[in-house]
Amino acid sequence: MLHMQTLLAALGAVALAPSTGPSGAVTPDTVTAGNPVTFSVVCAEGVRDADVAGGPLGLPERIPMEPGKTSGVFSVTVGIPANTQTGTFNVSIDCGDGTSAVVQLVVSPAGGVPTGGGATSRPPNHALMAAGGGLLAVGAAGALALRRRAV
Amino acid sequence: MTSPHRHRRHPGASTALVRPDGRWRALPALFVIALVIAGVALIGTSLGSGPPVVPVVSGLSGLTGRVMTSASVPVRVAIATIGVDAPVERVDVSGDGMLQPPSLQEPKTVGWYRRGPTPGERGNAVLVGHVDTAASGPAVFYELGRLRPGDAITVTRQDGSAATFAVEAVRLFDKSAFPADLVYGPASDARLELVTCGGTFDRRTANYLGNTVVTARFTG
Repeated sequence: MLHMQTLLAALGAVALAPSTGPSGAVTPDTVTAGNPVTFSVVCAEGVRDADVAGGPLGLPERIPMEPGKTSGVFSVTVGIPANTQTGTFNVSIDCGDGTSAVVQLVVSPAGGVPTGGGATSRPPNHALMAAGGGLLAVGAAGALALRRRAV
Repeated sequence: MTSPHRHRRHPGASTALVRPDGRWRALPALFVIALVIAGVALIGTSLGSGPPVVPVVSGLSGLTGRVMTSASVPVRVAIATIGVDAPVERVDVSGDGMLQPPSLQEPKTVGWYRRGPTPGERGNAVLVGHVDTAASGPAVFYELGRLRPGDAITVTRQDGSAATFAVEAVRLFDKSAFPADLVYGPASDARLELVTCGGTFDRRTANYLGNTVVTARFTG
């Protein structure tokens, strides 16, 4: 629900922006292959259909979009194929009146980067810790004995 | 050694630690102090260690929108404040979709993610480097976590041009929550993202659990 609200807010923002052509968006704009993204567009009022040119992403050339409540607003959620190569894709969203918007989608590598072998990392040594604790205990007992005799 | 003046409250206690006049004997006191120091040292040693800890720091350079108009692959990266001057090679994703850094056999080489922008172009250019190796110690990006906002990074490109960046943020992320949008996502200006390992080293999987990410902005 929050996601939808964010999307609507984004659409509202682009709808208000002064622009000659349609305004498009893709949410999220960074995704790993195999996951869904939502394309949205604000075409001119009265435009009856719009579609996404999915070819570069390994999707159908024309993905029909679903009309929103407001005239000229469309969106569609699609899954990015798992075998899509990582990289930056400029995706065209085409309104039925012949105008179009281009959105940038990054299909990113998955997860973090394995950049270490561990040579400089040493885990906690519990045996040493126990030995240190023991020495501290003996020291504390000794200090107590010293103090008692010194009073 | 036995004192004739036994302490009234502790008639059975040893008097080896005190002089007959009631003052501490120096040797036992020193011994106790040595015990405490040794104990603290042992515990300190036992806690383990790792690459430099990354405090969360970030600042704004106040520069926006500057980009280089031409693309050219990076060949060298220099970061004077941490003594880095290293060759750069191209790296790519492996079959499982993860970015593969240069081989651990080349710990002093930095990798540039070849499916992103080149340094200086609009967007996030990504450089990755090892923090350490499996056996021999620190690697090229060992000190990455010590960078501070404003530190300069210079990337030499194949066309002979140099792109300079200013550090904006230094952050440590859990690999399970790696910020793909920050590192790889679209950006309206030219940025450089430097990535290495950080956090706790998991011996079971032979893998650091975190990634240190330095975000820098193109300055010229």
